Amino acid sequence: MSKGDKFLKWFFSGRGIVDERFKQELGKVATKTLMVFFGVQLIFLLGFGMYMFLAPIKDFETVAAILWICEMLGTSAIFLGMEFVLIHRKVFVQELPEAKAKKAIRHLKFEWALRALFFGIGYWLLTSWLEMGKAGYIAQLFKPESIRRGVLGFVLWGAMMYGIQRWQLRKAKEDD
Amino acid sequence: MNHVREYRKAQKLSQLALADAIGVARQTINLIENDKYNPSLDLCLKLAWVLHTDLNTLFWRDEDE
Repeated sequence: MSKGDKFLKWFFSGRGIVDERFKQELGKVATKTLMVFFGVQLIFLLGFGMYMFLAPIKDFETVAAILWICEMLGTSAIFLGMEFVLIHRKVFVQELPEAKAKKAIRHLKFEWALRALFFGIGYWLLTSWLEMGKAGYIAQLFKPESIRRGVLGFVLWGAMMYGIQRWQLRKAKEDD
Repeated sequence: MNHVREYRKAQKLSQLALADAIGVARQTINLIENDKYNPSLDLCLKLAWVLHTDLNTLFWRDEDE
């Protein structure tokens, strides 16, 4: 598998073989996503631009914050929509013989538990650093609230990613 | 309709075994056999090599088919 193919699988958290049909489906969905993204951006920025130039705005910082939130949410929603379409079209489905499938499921559990653990620790360290007050980093780090958020992030993200990938991993069907 | 299924069965290969042999997903083989996906020339050649036949035999169809 080429580096580009590996990157595609990593980027979309996909399983399965990156073959020409995979790339063709991805290309079709990506083209439509780009068209939707362009259309949404155009309409949103035109509307927002008209508001900015015509309305008597005094607080531009709030306007910038609103613009940032809308862009973040909109872009994320469009990308997630693309991911869901790809999942719905079963592009990422990996079929394995029964014996291999059992082993792959065990490996998948271990893989996501480990990734989620690192994610949880990273999230805990980072949010504690961002939110530390006068009490200092260590005090913030061991606040029950900081630990609870880290653990929750670790459990939720790990479980969600395991669930998505487990759904894509299937026992090979008989010929149909 | 192409003849991939017939030749695969003649070689006693499952869809999964054929897919593994040419490096594609089983679903791709299934779609090709059911005429729901047009494979590239490269993939057609790989299929022909693995099934020990030629492109014409596997994919040729008359105008009225």
